[in-house]
Amino acid sequence: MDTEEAVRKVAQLKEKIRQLKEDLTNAETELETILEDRAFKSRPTDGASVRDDTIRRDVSNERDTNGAGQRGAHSTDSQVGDPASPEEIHREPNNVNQTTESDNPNGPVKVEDDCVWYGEVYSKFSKDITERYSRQILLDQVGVMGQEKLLNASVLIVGCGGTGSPCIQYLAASGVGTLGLADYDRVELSNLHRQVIHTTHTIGQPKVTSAKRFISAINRNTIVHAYQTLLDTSNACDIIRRYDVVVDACDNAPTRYLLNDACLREGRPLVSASALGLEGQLCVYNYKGGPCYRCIYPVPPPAETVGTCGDNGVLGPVPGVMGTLQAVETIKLLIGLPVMDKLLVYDAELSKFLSVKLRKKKEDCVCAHPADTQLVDYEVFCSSRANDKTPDISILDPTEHLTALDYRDEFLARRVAHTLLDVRSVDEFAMMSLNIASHATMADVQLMFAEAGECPAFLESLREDILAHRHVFVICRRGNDSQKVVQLLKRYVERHRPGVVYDIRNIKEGYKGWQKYVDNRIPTY
Amino acid sequence: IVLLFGKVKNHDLDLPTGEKPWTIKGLIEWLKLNKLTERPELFVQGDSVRPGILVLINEADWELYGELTYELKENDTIMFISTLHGG
Repeated sequence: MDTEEAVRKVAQLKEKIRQLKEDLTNAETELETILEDRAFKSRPTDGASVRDDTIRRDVSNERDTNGAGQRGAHSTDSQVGDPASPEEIHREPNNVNQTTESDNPNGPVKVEDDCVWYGEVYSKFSKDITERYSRQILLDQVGVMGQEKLLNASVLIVGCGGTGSPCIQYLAASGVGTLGLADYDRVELSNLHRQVIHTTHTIGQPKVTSAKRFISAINRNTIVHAYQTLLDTSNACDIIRRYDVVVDACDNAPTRYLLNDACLREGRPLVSASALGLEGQLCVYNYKGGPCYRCIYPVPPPAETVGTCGDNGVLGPVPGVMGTLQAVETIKLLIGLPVMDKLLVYDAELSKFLSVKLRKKKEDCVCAHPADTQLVDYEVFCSSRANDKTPDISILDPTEHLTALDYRDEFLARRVAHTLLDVRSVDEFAMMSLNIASHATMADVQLMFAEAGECPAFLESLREDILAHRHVFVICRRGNDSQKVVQLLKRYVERHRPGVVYDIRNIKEGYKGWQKYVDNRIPTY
Repeated sequence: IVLLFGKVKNHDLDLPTGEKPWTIKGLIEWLKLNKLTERPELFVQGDSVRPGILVLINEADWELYGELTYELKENDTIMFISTLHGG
């Protein structure tokens, strides 16, 4: 018992240290933000701080006639997808004196409602803004008016993960004035291969905090509203209403249906993307009479058919490509260029893009009467949780479980003869495993212990090896699949080994349990 | 879905000709019987594909072609794509 107590104590202290480290990181971030803000505010009036004054929706006709003709028909000052009127769009209070003479020799001499004067020179935007966005203002398709629309626009990005990361990055860099970020989750090490706006320094922090920090490093002009919450029926409409466009960069089916319905209600276009493995999909819903998500997918997929990045894996740049495309379509939408009216499918394995012509809006769909859309409980509707975490199952009797700690103390430490059967995939087993473990995939196990049917010879000999010991323990990543195998094994020995008493148990919580209770140095994934 | 068809992405099919022309409905049934290597419930539901699978006929939404009743022609490309939810 002494060892157990000591182990527990060590684990407790380690947990305490982990928490203190997290608190310290958060406090440091907060301090950094305060100091940065102070340094920023104490700067003399310069280009960046006059941003809110120089940007106005009502473009002066007189001064814009020169450029307008060249930019073609798309750059008319039309409203985007019937979004909120400019008055409704949330703006930060303006506390800059409009006509202060600047102490900074590089600063503007005079700021007026719709321009900045540098001596004799009239400038549409401040020096900072003009220089920062000049490369895209030069484009016929964007121009001064397009840039002005971006600066006045607001976009809500739901999900600061693999697709959200590059989307946030490009929208902030392109000068979208206000970004709303919604994500309930925190940064983990296993996120970093694809969620490229987060860093090793922000592990453990809320993703929205980490993302906000990233944005402030690339563009101090961007106004950021962070919502560290799970969007649901109670809050989605209130938040969505404050933005012109919604970017769906989430990772689960319930949230996709929620965003669709809330966007219908609030009359907002939805730029949606998803990725898994080596595939990605992109589509713009609820825009200019096009279909909504429910027109295409009226019935949610069965929960067991929905893969997650955590279970199935994902190649890092694939969500990156999709998120980048989301940023492109969002920018085009905001400045009034025609956007994708197809479903774009990216197959990274075959290096192929496919654009699929979609059906028209369905007359019997909820989107026929968008204002009447009623939000429902989307977790019930989809029979799955609004996150991409795998839920723990419990199908065994409590006596059929063995904790990782008990397994180590009673069997490994005492060298009791037993079989440990690892039922994860080949690559998971190759990534890390207990060195005593035998390996068989779930598919192998199903063949070996099937009620009927042929079984290849190599599996037959593996089956004999497994059943050579009276103690058989089954382990997997989290302790879910292994429970099914315990049931399968028990049924098999009842039928095929009558009279032999076997002790077949599940290693509770699998390798996750080993990491949690026995040895936290081992990698988890 | 690829996993359900022996991990093979593209299949060139020579469908047996009979009296009645092949429809998408018939194709789904035929695939289930002849090509599906495991867990049919992850592909079909009733006489159609399960929710969350979009059928493409020559790279366009099957809804534009009458879904299950569409009659296959020589060299048609039929794709089954699964909705993705990761991000």
